[in-house]
Amino acid sequence: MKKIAVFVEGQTEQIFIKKLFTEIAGAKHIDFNVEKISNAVFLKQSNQPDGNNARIFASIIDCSNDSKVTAAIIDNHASLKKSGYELVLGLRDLYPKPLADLQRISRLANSRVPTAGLPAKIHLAVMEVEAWFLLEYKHYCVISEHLTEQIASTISGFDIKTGSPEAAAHPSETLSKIYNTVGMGYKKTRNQVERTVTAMDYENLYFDVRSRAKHFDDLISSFEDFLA
Amino acid sequence: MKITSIKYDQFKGEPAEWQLDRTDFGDINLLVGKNASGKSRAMNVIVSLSRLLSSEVRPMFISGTYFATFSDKDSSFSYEIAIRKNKVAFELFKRNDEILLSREESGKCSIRAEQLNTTIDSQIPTDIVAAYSRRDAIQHPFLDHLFLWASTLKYFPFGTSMGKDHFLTIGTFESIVTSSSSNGSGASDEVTVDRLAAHDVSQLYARAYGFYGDEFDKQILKGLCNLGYDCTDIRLANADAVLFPGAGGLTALYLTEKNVSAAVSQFDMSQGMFRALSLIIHINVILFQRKSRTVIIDDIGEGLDFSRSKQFISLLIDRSQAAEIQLIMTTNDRFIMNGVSLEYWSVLSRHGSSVKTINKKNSPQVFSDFDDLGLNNFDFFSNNFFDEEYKEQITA
Repeated sequence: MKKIAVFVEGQTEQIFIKKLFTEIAGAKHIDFNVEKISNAVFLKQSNQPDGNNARIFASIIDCSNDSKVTAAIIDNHASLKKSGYELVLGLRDLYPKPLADLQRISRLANSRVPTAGLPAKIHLAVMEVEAWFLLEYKHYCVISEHLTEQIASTISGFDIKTGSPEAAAHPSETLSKIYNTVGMGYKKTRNQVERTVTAMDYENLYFDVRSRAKHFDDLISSFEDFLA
Repeated sequence: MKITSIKYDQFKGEPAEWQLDRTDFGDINLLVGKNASGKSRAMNVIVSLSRLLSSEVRPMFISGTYFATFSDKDSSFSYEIAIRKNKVAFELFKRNDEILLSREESGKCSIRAEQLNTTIDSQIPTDIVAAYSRRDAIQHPFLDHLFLWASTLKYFPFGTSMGKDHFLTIGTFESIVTSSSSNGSGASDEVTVDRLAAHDVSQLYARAYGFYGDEFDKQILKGLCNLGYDCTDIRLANADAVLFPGAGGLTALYLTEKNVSAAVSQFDMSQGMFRALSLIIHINVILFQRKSRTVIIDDIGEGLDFSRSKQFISLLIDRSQAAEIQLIMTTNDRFIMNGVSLEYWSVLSRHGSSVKTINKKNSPQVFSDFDDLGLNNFDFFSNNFFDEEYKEQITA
C-alpha cells in the first residue's frame, strides 16, 4: 500500500480532495483517513476501514483550526516519514493575497518545506479552490435546473467555459452570487460544499478545467506521479 | 489616553548601561522574545514611569531617561523625564508640537497656564516630578491626562502566584462587607480598588462583589467556563480548614466545580487555574468600572495548557477591544503566539545592553515575507525570522 498525506487549509479543500482522489484513483483502490488538527492534536473525522485491499492510503488533514499548511507539514514530516508515507502535499489558497504575488508566494511556500527522505510539495489554488468549481460549468444545472452557464458567466463577468481561474478575484464569493440567483447559498458550510463537490462533473474537471487551470493541473500531476 | 511608544535608557556610557529602543504600541500588543531579551524589563519601564507620574514613588533610579508618547481622541502627547542620582534632571511635556511643561535640573519649571493663557515659571524641589506635583484642573488640565493614564494603569505579572498565597483577614473582609452594604456603591472606592495589586485578588473580589453583587460572580463563572473550568459557585470563606493549624482568622477564595460536591480552595487549586481565576477577577473589575485604561500582563499563558492559553488570549483580546482597554502582553508561549495575529506583535531582541523591537509598523516587509511562507506565528519567533541575515537567506 502506498501512503500519501495531504494537508489542506480547510473543510472545503478536504471534502474536494477526497472526492477528486477517489475519482482519479477509483473508489476501490483508495482508502482515506480524514483528520483535523485541533489544539495540536489530530482528531479523526472519518476513517475508511482497510478492508478492500486498496493500494493507496490517503490521509487528508484539515489544518484550519490551529495551524497553517506549511507549518503542519514541517511539524509532521518526520513522523510521516517514519510511518512509511511516500508523498506529502499541501494545498493553500492564494486569496487574500493579490495575484501579482503568485510567483513569489509559490516559491516562498516551498522554500521551508522539508523534503529529505520524504518528498513534500505545496500547491496553490488561485485564488481559491472554488475557482476550479466555478470553471466546472456542467455542475450548475445539477445544483438547480434554473441555473444556466449563461447566468454563471454573466455573474462571473467572464465566460466560465473558456476563461481562466485567475479571472475571478474572490471565487467563493462569485460562486455564492451565482447560486443566490436561484435562491441558494454558498457559505462554505459542510452541506453546501458537499452539494457542490457531488454535483461536479469530474471528467470535465479532469480534462477541461485542468487544461485551463495550471495550478489544478500541477496538483493532479503530483497525485498521478504518485500513483504511477 | 493610551501610550503609543516608549524609549528608555539608563547608566548611559557606563558598564551597567541598558537601553530599550523606541517600542510602539497599538490597542492590542503582544511582546515576544527569548528569555532575557528584555520583555519583563520593558514592562517594568512602563510601570515605573506610571508610578513616577502618579507619585506613588519618588524617582527610584540613579540614572534613567524615559521618552514616551501618548494619544487620545484629539491629540498626541510626548513626555520625557531624565533622572540622575535620584533627582529629576529634565522634564518636557508636549501636546502635538506645543510645549506645555519644561523643567531644568535646577528645578526651574515653565508651565502653560490655560485659563491665564500664558506660561508661568516656578521653582520646585529637585526630587519631585513636576508633571505630577503641578497638577491643577483649571490651569494645567493637560497634566490630568498623564495622571489618569498613570494612576489607572494595571500590571499583572502572570508568571507569579497572582495572589494564590495571599489571604484576606476576616477583619478586613468584614469591614469591606460592612462598608459595601452601608455605601451601596463602588464609585467612592474606585481609587482604593485601582491601587490594589495583582496579588490582592481576595480583597479585590470582596470589594467587587460588594459593589456589583451576583452579576459579578456570574461574569467570573462565565469567564472560567470559557476556559473550560465549569464552575457553579465562587465565594470567599473561612480558610481555617485548608490552612496550617493556628492560621485562624483568614479567608480564602473557593470555587465549586460542576458535579463536584466539595468546593476547592485557592490553596488547593492548581497554580494555572488560580492565575486564570485571579486575572479573570481583575479584568472583570476593570470591565465593570467601564474606564478605558492600559493593562499590562507579563508572561501571559504561563502555567496554562495549550487549549486554555488559546481560549484565554482570545477572550482577553475580545473583551479589551469591546471595552477600549489598551492591552500590552508579553509571552514566549507557543500557543499564545499562534493565537495572536502578527498585526499585534512586537519581537524584542537584545544585542548586548540594547533591546530592539521589530514590529509590523517599523518592518512591514519582514512581516509580509513571513506571511507568504505560510508558517505559524510561533515560527516567526522560533526561526529568528526577524533576524535580517536569516530573512535574506530564506527569501533570496
